[in-house]
Amino acid sequence: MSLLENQLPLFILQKLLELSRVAANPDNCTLIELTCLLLQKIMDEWVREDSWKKLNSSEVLHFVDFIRKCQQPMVRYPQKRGTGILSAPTATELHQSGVKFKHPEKSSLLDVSFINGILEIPHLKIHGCTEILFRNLQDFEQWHCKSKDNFVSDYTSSSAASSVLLMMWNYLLIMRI
Amino acid sequence: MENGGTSSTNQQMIDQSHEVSLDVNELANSLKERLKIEKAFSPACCIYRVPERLRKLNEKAYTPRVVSVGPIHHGKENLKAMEDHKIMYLQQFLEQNKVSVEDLINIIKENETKLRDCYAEINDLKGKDFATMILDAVFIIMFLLNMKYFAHFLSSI
Repeated sequence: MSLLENQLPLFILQKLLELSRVAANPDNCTLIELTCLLLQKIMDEWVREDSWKKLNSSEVLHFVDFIRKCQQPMVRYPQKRGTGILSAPTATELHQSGVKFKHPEKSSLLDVSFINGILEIPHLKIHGCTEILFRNLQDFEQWHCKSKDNFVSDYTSSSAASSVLLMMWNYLLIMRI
Repeated sequence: MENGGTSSTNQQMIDQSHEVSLDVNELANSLKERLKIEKAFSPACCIYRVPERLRKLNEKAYTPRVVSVGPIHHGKENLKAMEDHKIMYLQQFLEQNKVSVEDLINIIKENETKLRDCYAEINDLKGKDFATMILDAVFIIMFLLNMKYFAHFLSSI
């Protein structure tokens, strides 16, 4: 389900599902609803109800696209140019400098923010397939999406996520001075 | 005689220039043919083959190990075990919903162009690729419906 090369267009799955009789699909679930029921059992933090219910199902291309669209962050920071490559400070460094950590009740795993010394970053459970998922989401995004909409790549690449990182580094510098 | 000689030299020059000049029509036709079939940058295109340089970094991250879905990995030896399951699910689907194979094929046929446009590198999807799509689509649908049924069953006991 998470492999880019192993996909069928979702619209054709939906059309074939519509042939199902009531006995086979008693609640008349859509393909998206059935997919969510499965994904919520195996990777619930990736398909939160408040994120997938906002989606327009006719715009979902396939399963990889669906998982990606569920991660659309609520807040997008403008890209900072010319900041060079920044590596993320360690959690210990941040903690020692007084940064507070908070697990936000937000819909997307990729909603990271840093405001007034509080780093809000959702818990990400690392499973055996987490790397596979990120790689395929990122590859699909780089092929298919416009650069301003590369929120998965922004999350996985520390240099691209420079806006939040830069804010953190500025905070650390101020605290040390 | 003099005129004749000049004319013959001109003719030779023209012949030579023909040998090295581009055949505009032939090139244009060749490019137009490619434009017709290359869908890599079509707006509807959404299923891509991962570039080799990325695949080399982690082959397992991009290659199915249990079941193939769609034409890109179809037919691989290590994935053949699931093909019987797909046939079994298709049989169940047809019986449960009282539809025929022809009904499924007609839906695929009605959406043929749209389906072709979704794939970047499968420029010439053949009949057997569409048969693969039917089997795989029904497999996914039956799998999702069965998972829902089992989850409901488990939560009720």
